[in-house]
Amino acid sequence: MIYTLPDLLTDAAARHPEKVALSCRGVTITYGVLADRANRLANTLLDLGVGKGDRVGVYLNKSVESGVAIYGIMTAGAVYVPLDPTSPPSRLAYVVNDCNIDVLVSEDRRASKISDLEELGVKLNAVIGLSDSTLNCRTLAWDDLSVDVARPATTLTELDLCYILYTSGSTGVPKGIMHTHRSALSWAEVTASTYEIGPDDIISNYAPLHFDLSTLDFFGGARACASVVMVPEEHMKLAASFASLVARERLTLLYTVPLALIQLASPGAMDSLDFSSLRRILFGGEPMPIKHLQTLMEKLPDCRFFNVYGPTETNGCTHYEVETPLAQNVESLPIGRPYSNVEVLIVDDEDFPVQTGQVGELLVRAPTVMKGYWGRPDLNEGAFYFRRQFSGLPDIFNRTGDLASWDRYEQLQFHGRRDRQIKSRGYRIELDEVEAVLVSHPDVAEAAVFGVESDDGAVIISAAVIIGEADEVDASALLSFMSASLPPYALPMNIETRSEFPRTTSGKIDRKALAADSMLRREPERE
Amino acid sequence: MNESETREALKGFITSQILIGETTPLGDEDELLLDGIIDSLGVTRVIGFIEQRFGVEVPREEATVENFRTVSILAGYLSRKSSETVGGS
Repeated sequence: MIYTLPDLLTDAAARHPEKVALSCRGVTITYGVLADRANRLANTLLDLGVGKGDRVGVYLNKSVESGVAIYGIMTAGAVYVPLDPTSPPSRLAYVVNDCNIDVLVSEDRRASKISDLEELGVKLNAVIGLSDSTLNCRTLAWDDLSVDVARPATTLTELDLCYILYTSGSTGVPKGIMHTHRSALSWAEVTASTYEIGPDDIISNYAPLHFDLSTLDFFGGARACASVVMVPEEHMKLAASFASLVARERLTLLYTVPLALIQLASPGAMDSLDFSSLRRILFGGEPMPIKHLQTLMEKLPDCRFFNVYGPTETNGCTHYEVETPLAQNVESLPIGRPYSNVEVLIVDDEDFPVQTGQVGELLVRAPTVMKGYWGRPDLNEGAFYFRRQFSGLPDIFNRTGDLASWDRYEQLQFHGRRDRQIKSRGYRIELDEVEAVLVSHPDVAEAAVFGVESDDGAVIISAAVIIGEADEVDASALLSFMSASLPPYALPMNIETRSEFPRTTSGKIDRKALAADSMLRREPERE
Repeated sequence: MNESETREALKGFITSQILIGETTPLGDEDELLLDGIIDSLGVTRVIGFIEQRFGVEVPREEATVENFRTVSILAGYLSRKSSETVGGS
C-alpha cells in the first residue's frame, strides 16, 4: 500500500527503476537511482540524530539533488522545509528558528549565505551537501553520505507531517503551512487521475520548491511514474530559453503560473519550435489574462487548458477546463468545479450559505487540506469552520479567505480576497507584511502599501510614505532597508513621499484611493 | 567602447537600478539569473538599457540564458553584436 510520499518513491522505483524520474540542466536521474540516493540521505540523517517529525531545511537551487533532498528527508521520517534561495538571510533565519531547524541540505555555492545565517545567531548541527567549509557546524559532502541504500524502517503514518511551506504573513513575519503525507498524497492521486498522467508523460517542474505548485510536479509525477523536467531558474526569466526548453524536452504537460505562459505567448517566442508533444497546460497561482490565453490556444490547437485553483492551505480544490475555442466575450475564467473528493461551501459574514450569484467566502473540506499553521494557535483558531453534525463531532472546512460565487452554469467564479493578500507574478504577498516592514524604518511616520493593476492585468506593488522628523528620505534607501527582511518579489516597484494621505471617514488610510490615484497618474504614460 | 568598459557600464546599471540593498559588489562572473539578482522584469530593464546605451538591438530569440548568464558573457555577446553591425553595414 502507498500511505506516504516515500512509499510513492519506493513503488515507482520497484515498477520503473530505469525510467527517468528527474532531469535538470542536463543531469538525469532514474527512479531506481533516486530511491537509492534518497535512502542513503535518510540513513545519513538518522545517523546525525534527525528523528521523526524533525524539520530539515532544503536550501538549494533547482537540481536533481532537490529531489534527493525532499525524498531523503521524508524517508527518514522528517519534515522538509524549503528555504527560498532568493530570500534575505534575516528572513531565512526567522524560518529556521521558527520551526527549529538544525540540519540543512544545501550546496557549495550557498556556503557564504549559510555562514550569514550563523552570524545571525542560527545554531546548526550539520549541513549536508558542502564539500568543504568554514562553518561552525559539521558538514558532509554528497559523496560522504551513508552507503546503505536500504530504506530505513520508521513509524511514519499518513497522518504525520511531510513538509512545511512558509508564505507571507500579514503580521510582518512568514507563516508555515503544514501538510501531512495524507494531504500531499491525496493531491498527487487527484492530479494523476484527473489529468491522466502516465509513465509516458514528461511533465514540467516550473515552480521552485517553496511554492506549492511544485508538489503536483514531484508527487503527481511520481504517482504516475512520469518523468519530471525541472525548469532551471535562469530559464524562467527568459522567454526564448523557456520556450526552447519546453520544445526540446518534448514536454507533454506544463504546470506554471500565468507569467510563464504570457512569456510563451509573447511574439516570436514559439516561432520555429515544435510543440507537438504538449497535450495539457495547467495554470494556477493567480488569474490568467484572457488575451494571452487566447494567443496560446491559437498556437497550440491540440492542447487542453486547465485553470487550477486552490491556496497553499488546501492544495488544488477546484479546476476549470477551458472551452475550445474560447467564447468571444469572455472576460475572466471561472475557477470551475470542485475535484472529486472535495466539498466546498460559500458563506456570508455570519457563516450562512449564500444564494447562486452572491459572493461569499469559499470554504473547503477535503483530504488535501493542511493540518494548520506551524506554532500559530492564533491563526489556527480562525483558519477552520466547524459544521455541526448530529454526532457532535463537526465536519472541518478550511476558510480560504478567497471570495467566490456560483454562477448560473454551476461554475465557481473567483472574486479576489477578503483581506489584503495579493498575487504578483504568481507570488503570494500580504501587503500588510510589506507595510509593517516599511513603517518600521525610523524616518517613516506612516506608510501605505497597495496593489496597482498594470496594463496587462498584473498586480504591481506600490507604496506611499509620510516622512517623520527627517527632511527627506530617498526611496532607494527605503527599498534597501526593506530588502533586508523581504524577498525581492515583495518589494514595491515605487515609493512616493506625500505630506498627507487620503483618509476614510473613520480616519484610516484610504489605500483604495491611493491606488486609484496612482492608476490615474499612470494614464498619460500609456499614450 | 571596449569590452571592459561595457562590463563596467552593465555592472553600474545593474548595481544602481536593480540590486537594491545588496552590499557585496557584483562580479563579472556572478550568476545573474540563478539567485534572483535579476528577475524577468529586470531582464527587460537590462535589455532596455543595452538598446539605449549601446544602440544594440537585442532580438527576442537572442535574449537567452546562453547570452545573459553573467556580466562577462553578456559583454562578450554585445561586443560580437556591435562588430557584426559594423561589419555588415
